[in-house]
Amino acid sequence: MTDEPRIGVYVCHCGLNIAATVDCEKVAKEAARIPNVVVSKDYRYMCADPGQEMIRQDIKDFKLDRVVVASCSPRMHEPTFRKCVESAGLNPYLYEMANIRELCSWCHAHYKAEATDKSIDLVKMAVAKAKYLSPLNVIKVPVTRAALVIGGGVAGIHAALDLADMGFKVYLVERTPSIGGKMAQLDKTFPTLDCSICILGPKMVDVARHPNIELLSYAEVKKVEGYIGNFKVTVTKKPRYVIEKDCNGCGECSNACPVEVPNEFDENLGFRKAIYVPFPQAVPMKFTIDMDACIECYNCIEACKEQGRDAINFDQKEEERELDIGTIVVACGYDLFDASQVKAYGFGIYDNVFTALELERMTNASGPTQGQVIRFSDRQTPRSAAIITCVGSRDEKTNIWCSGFCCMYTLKNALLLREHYPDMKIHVLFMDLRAPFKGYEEFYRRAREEGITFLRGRPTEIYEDPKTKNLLISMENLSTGEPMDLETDIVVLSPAAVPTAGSEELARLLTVSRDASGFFMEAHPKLKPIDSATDGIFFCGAAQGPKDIPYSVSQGSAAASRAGRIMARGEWEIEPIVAFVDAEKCRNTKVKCGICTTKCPYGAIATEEKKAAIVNTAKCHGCGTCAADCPSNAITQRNFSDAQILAQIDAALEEKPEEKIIGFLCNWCSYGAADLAGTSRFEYPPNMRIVRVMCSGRVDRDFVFEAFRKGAAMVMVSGCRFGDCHYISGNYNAEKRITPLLTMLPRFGISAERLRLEWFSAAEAGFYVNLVKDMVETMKKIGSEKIKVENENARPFLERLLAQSGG
Amino acid sequence: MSWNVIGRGDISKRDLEKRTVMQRRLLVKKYEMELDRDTCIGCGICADICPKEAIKYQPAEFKGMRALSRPSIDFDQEKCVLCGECVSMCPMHALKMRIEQAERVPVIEMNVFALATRKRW
Amino acid sequence: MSNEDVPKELEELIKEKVLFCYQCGACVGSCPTSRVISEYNPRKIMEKLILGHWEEVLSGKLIWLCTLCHTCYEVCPQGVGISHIIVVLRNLAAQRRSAPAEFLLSAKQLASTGWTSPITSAVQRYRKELGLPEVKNPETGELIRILESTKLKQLLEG
Repeated sequence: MTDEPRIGVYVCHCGLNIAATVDCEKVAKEAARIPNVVVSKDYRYMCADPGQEMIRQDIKDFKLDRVVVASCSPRMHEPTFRKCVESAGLNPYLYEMANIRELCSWCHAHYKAEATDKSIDLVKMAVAKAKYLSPLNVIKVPVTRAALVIGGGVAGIHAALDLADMGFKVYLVERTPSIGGKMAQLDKTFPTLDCSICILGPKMVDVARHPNIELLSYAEVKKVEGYIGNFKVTVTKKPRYVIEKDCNGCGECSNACPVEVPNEFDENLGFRKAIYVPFPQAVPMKFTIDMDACIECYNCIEACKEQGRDAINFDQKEEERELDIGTIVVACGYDLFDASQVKAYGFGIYDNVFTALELERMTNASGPTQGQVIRFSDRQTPRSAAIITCVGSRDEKTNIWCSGFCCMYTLKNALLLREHYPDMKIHVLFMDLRAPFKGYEEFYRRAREEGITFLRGRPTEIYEDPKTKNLLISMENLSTGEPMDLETDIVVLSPAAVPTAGSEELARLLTVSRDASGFFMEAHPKLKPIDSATDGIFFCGAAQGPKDIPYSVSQGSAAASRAGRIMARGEWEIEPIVAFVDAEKCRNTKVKCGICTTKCPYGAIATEEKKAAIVNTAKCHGCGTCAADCPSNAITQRNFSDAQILAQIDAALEEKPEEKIIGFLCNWCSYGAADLAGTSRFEYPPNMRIVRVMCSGRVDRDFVFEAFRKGAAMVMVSGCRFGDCHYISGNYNAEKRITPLLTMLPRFGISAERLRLEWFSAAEAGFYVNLVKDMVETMKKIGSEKIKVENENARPFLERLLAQSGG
Repeated sequence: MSWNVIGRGDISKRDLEKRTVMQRRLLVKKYEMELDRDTCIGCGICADICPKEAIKYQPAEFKGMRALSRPSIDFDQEKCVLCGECVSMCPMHALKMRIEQAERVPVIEMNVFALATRKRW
Repeated sequence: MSNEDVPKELEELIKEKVLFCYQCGACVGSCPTSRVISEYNPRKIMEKLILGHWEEVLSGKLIWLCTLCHTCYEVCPQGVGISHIIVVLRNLAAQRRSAPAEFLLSAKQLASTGWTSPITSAVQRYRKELGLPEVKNPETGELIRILESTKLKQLLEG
């Protein structure tokens, strides 16, 4: 840090995105008046070439050693501008960003004057932090050239094959006994009506044969540690009770087994034995014993021995494997919505109501009925069928989203029925028919050509005739505007796609986020649909959101590309925003401390007796919890130091502090939600001044004290929901540290409701907006006079506390 | 109209006046096990023999020396796998199993005896 | 389109609930009135509100045909709550003196006797023949207070 830095400030118009609300020229003029700012300009598009060139030129011409750009979210363009200043010869970490778009212009459209004032404050805060920035060098870490693909459906298979073809080692972990996923269960695929397993089968065999792919089937991911390029993953292989290398899949054991239970692969329409393979094309072709069904009669062992093999072992135990992984691809797919939740449609209550997947198992030649569609009640071929779309989709009571591919598989099922039964009366009952992609509209035309009747209307209820077990559907025919009843032999429901079971736990293991619908959340919905917010982890296929097969395949290859990009060079640069200890201040040299060691979620700090604590920079993820909890203030987090944060607080509260709320928002969740609120153009009052930290665990009590000392109306500390913290336990530490202030501050005269501690996820923009509105209302209710008085009364106590901690 | 949802392939249990019927209806196969409660003496052999511990033995209720009720058994339809061990061992032939209307007992047909039971002894 | 301003209550209701209607027709399928009277269609009523034809809705007879069975409320996938909206529309219509005479007659009967249908001497006679006790007129004090506080009594008198 130099005593007299030379700071350049650039205020972006972003076309009209910022300029329509914020007076950028005024902001630039005000910024020019801040001490140490030697050049201050406003410009239409800072991120475009001319804008970047302007910065580069100014660095040379004005000998700038700090650059501040006021534009969009750092989560958007921080890397862009870091590269820009680096190319002009300035260290990329001598750059700071003020977010006057997502956090300002986009959410204060009707508060133009206040938005401009807020932008000026945000620029002041960025300049204040910039003064304390130091040059930092990226940390280069080696990258293990091995990838983990979680999930062996069509997306995971393609990701694994592409990565393996690139030359990387791939571990494909699949929790069921065989890969293939939902696609293996289908009969035909739209819009070509290709046989599903015929096109998937060869890919499955490719996976089994590929020298670079190690297939871990009937296994689950237990633990994930580490960081990009250097993950340590523990995989648990569940016991099959069959020795894989000895089993050749002959099936004699299954023939000898007396127990028959419902077959999940056939949607419980048919049966399997307790020792089984899920389907005839299973990869690997190894049997598995379902111990819930097995009665341990050992008939299978005898049958296997008669074949000259001894592949069954009831003593087999769970096996743990620890894998060194460079990148992780999440391809765990989706589940079908449980249609029995829509009681009005009678699934599970009436005999002859089926789901679409059940229908596919019936029409499938290798299914439980060898390709016959039969009614449950009398096993007769139905003469009529009605297919109902949107079951559990687009519905406030169940799932609000559209599942995207159900209209298409509805058309396919209708055509499959027509193919098998040329004379069947087939009705499709729909609200809207969505057929957006290549060949899809033509597929719809084909269905109409085949004499399938389309009735627009959402069925209200289904009744069953107790004698015939036929179904009576009551609905409105939207084309005629009249209510009607449709009698049909069978009903087929098209259920929604919902997040797969175990998503919540997997998200926690990987410290990735899920969005409001429960599917895995991509880093940016438009520009980073494959990346997760956690470096080195990627999503593909239905795990990221409901999608059809071509889209899943594309994403599988995309994930392979994103992962390959990291593993290609063998090393990767990670951000140097890590912690370091000032050995002279460390208490451990005098008395036994080690608080930092206990708090660090990654075990990255070592404290030996009588020695100062040392941070292992490779293991440090940069949460800042140690810096906040250190009783001697000996630990600093680079780029988020105490000095930098306190400077931002002071700058924000220079004028009219009693109208301002200081918010400490964690980068991954809270700041993400605030950005999303701006992206979604939700409006809320402009009183927030946000200080970005990587994790809520970074928030020191001193920051809260300083904010009130400088006269803030309210302070908010927020982080991820418990269990979702990007740094595992940062939010717990923040809660432990800040909650006592809720009782401490009132003793100094500050009303308890002026400090808020909130936990919400990056998807919860609405929550954030309501929170801000609520805080501003509280602020107004207390009134600025009372706030000023309370702050005055508390000041001596706060100053004493701040002096004590040396902050 | 019954609003009870039966999961696909699950076993449903019906306690009728003189018998209890356990039924699993698959699309292509129906399995049924029937207990004649009049014939059942409550010896408890089936409860001991069941490899999935799906049969619970309920002892008789006594008031002093007087028996208020006979000992009886109850099934847990979530654990039962319809193997037929209980049917094969019942000394009173109070249990019957039918697959697709024909009386069939899988463990007798396959000539097996459950080790799981042996392990418990 | 309407000439005057939308009543505030209705405007809020439309913004919070009705605008979400995506015209699927689930409300009509089991609507008992729809089955019998072809002009009655709750989906079309919602559409009229979305398009701003609220005056036509309030002055018409159709909103008075709803049986308040609430099936539409239960099945609506967008949570529009049609039957509850019908009640609000009826109240607004009544305030504008658009309520059908038959409804007002029923309401007046309720206010004065405590019954919506009159207990005639013929009814009392039949009851005696069947050995049923005589029907006594109910206490209407509490009822009148409710009708007053909900302003229905004033509406009936004015």
